[in-house]
Amino acid sequence: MNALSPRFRSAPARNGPLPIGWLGVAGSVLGLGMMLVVLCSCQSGPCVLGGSGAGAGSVAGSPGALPSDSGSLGGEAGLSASGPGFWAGGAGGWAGAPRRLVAVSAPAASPGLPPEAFWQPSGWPAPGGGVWAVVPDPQTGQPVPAPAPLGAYGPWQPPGFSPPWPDDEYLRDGGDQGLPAGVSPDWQVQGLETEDTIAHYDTPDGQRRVEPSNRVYLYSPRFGSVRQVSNLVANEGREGWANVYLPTKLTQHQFQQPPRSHKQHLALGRYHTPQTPVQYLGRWSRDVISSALGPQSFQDRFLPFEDFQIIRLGQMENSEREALARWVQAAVVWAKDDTLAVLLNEKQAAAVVQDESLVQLYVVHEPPANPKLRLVKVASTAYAEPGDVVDFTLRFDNVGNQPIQNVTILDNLSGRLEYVPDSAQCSVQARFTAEPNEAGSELLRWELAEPLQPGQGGIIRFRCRVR
Amino acid sequence: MPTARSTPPDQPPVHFQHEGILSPGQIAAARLSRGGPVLGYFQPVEIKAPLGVSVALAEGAQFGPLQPAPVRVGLLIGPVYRLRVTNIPRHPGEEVYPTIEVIDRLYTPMGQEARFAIPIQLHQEDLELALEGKLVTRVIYVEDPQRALPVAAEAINGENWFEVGPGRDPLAVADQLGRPVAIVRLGGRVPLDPEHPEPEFMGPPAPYERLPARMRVLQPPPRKPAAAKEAGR
Repeated sequence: MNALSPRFRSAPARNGPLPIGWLGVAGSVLGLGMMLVVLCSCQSGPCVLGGSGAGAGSVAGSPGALPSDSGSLGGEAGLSASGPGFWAGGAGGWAGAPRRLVAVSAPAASPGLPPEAFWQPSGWPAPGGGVWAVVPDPQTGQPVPAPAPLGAYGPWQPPGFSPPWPDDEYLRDGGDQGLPAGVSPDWQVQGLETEDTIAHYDTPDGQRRVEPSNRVYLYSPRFGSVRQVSNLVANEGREGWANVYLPTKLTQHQFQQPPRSHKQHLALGRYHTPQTPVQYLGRWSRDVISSALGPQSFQDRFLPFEDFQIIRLGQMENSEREALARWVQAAVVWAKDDTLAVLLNEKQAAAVVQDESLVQLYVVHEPPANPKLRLVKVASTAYAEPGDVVDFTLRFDNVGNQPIQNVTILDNLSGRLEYVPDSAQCSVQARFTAEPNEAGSELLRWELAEPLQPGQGGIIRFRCRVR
Repeated sequence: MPTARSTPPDQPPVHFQHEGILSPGQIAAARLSRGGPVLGYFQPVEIKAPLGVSVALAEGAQFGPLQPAPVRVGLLIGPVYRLRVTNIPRHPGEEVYPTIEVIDRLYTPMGQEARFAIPIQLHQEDLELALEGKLVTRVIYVEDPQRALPVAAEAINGENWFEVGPGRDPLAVADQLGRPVAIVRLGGRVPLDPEHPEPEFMGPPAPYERLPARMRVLQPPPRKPAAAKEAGR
């Protein structure tokens, strides 16, 4: 889909040469090569700066994820552990399960579970003396460690499927699915499919970047029916009840039903520590703290589902990760490759730890200029019926180290969501437009009037009615 | 990576290898044979009908107590449940005995099962067609959100439905539009004695769960603006 992006300022002004002030800022960041001095006290063990702080050894005892598990970054299921009934372990399905090992406690810690949930396979020693729940890999047939107990994190779903499942019962909004969105020089947005939510902005060096938000899932199945009216005489022979008894033997199924019907109701294990804290820690940067936004520009104060530090202040709090994951399936939207990396004399800190020295003097080179916009989306509820009203909140922050300008945020609503007129709010000065899209809903657009300085951000709210 | 639509070729995730005119119970039995967590699961179902209509479910060899619609029950996947529908508007004293066959389930998040039930809508037109001696087959399916019509639920009276002619299979059409979850059949034979129906008419007994009536939280009345309130004083 191509969507014209009308600007409230003339296009040549945005495509023209950069202002002197911008060049000055960029030059001050790039040219000065500011040197930072960091005092680090490491008495024993490796010291890792700027990393996730967890490695492969963290699978035993406490949940952990490998630092190379990039599949859980920015994907639609990156924070799926605490979602409404999803598996822990991140995206990618079970085919990549060896990279997503989750520790399992001893069977005694979870009484009432069937013994087969803790079956210990030969040749698969559990780390730390624990016990794995094992399921066969759908492709190879080999046992693969998986989060246990089976089904403890939500309703049943078949192995190898990415949550949420089944997809026909969920409404999605956010992210950038299908073709990656892009903005042409004449401000046309291409590749913006239905349900996509993106932001595009210009960097001081003249680049135009696109940043998608995370995806928000609403459980909202809608039903239809197909009717056929036929003459009873024509179907008399086939619709007779006698046909049921002879060939199909319905009673056989009824007698098989009761014994194993309770296996799917195991739910207590959902509250096991399901997610790896390092998925958040690894993406903190010093510049993500935004200036506090006064709620006076809104009609209301912060809503209950917005009571997160990342929404109020743009600051990620580890203690909020489980609650946040209930509303956000993937709160981390920037790639791990773009995380600020700290180099100590051009080496990693873990390689220079010495036991005989209590205090080390390190010289740190500041990373190069990295303009970055973060877009986080949350919804007021995870379940909605047709006719219900759902509030959406978008939090945008300049988490890079350069100012960005011409920030435009687009939300291409699904056909099942109807924008409530006059419900859009923005905490900063912006021009808002809503135009019909190809799905029968609307394309919402916010164009920020002022550039965003590093650390600055804002909040956008709007309201939709589920069709 | 396998997706929700990709299964081995010998077991396609559709029903239309069967025909919608198969005898009641056969399609659900085939669904049970395909495996999955459907055996023994009581799928919440909400039976809706025009205002004033009463519904009773078969309990053993007899019908249970009549309840005003809508009625919320949990039905197993596989059995065929016989209903007794009375107090039909404009047809006093007449009764219809439809059947419900749940052929698939929903995977609702925990704690929300009773809230999101499969709607079984007994339309007035369907009831009247059944009284005229027609056989009405209605296949209920879960819409594919990617292909859902962008119309509000209120505009389509809470349900979006299509009509297919006698030469087409409603189950195949529903499979193309979404995922079939239930089949309702109206019309056909009636019991000789409604108070003591014969066992062949009732079919094999099947258990069901009684669910509490649906409670709708009403929105509070709109508050008056502060300025108007001050002016009123």
